[in-house]
Amino acid sequence: MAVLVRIPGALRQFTDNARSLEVELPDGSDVAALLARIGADNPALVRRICDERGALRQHVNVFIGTTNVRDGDGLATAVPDGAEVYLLPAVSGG
Amino acid sequence: MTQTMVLIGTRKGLWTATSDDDRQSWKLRGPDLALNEVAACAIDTRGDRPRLFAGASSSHWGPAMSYSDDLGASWTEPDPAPISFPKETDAALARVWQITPGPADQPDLVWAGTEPSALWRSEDRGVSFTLNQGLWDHPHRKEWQPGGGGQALHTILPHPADSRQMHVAMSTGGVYRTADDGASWNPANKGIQGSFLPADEFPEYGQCVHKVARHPERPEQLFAQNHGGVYRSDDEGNSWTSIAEGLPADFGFNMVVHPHAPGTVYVIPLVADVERIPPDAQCRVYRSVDAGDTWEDVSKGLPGDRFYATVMRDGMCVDDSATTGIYFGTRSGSVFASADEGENWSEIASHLPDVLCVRAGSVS
Repeated sequence: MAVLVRIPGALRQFTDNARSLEVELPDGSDVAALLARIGADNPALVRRICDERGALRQHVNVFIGTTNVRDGDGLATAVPDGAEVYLLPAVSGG
Repeated sequence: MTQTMVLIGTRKGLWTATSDDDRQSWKLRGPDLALNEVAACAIDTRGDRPRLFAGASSSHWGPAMSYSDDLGASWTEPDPAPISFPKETDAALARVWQITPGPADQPDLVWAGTEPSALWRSEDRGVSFTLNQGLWDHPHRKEWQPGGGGQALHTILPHPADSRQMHVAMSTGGVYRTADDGASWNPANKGIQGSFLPADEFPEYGQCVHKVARHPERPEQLFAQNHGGVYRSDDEGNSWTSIAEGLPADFGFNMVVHPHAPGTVYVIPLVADVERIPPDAQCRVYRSVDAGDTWEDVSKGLPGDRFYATVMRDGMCVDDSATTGIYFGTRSGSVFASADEGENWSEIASHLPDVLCVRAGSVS
């Protein structure tokens, strides 16, 4: 299946300024598998999303469409075919 | 051409000040690693060309460690991440607090200290680090508590003549040392007060030691700026005695040793413990040339009144010039420099974000 991952501006330094990535995944994959697939080619990008334990960083959110995976099964949330996945920093800081 | 370089790590990136006229004038460049909190930096001059290190951390995107082999024109973040806690620790890197190049005869050896409190060793000049398991497994670990900045290993002092010996310091936890190349560690805090502790004011460990320093030609002598108390040890940390008499306050974060004069040290006192601003609201550096027996105010050129900024534990350093330069950066975004061992000061940068660390050295 194919998934489109939207990259926030602050992380495009890790994608050659690409605003999105098209990722091929096995059917039934979850968010963790999606991040692992991206991380195989781009480990520095995925280090910004998860720490070395595989935990989602506190001020980073992953949305599948309009749903925050924190409101689902976290990184075990299934990613449907054709989904748009957003990697988003929390609105915070100063 | 040889330049003097000052790395200035701030809350929002790394700035670089350089001087090519023996520190009479400075050019400021930055920020590199923008919007990252740079709590640790280092200038490593041992190799064929200088390597700069920066431990940067984004409040959103987490910590990273980078290096530059072109004096900051570009930065490399190695893959895999240089510092990554092994899975069995169930820990995650929060911040790099210290980067310490090893001795000149081991140009690929670099040490790092982190939050959570851990010591790391690199044998490939900072590209990859290995966790010191002896300290990580220490039975005291569960009783070390985070200070205001987090649970940090912030001071690394390899012994200049015996590679099996090292001191480290943590907030909190205190001073620990090894004599077996890091296999085992023992606390070395006898005589250091933990006045913030409810029960035991002189515990075996648990003190909030803010910074420790020593001169390589006198490795048995250590100096410590504690969370309340300034101390010296003349026996490699077996015991400590107060050297705070003569200072206007015994609180502070800095302890810097003159690189050419064993027994000469610099501190920046703060009113303890609640206010944490300079005494009398004056920016003041104090120097001792007799290992802390007496102190003198060496502040000519520094702001004289209504100065309320603090200097963080790694916000003061010396350079490697023949006539020693001293530098400190403040949380109000100023960097002050002295090219004559503290006799005269001038401001070389202002209006930066909060300065967290400075490091200086000669590069070419």
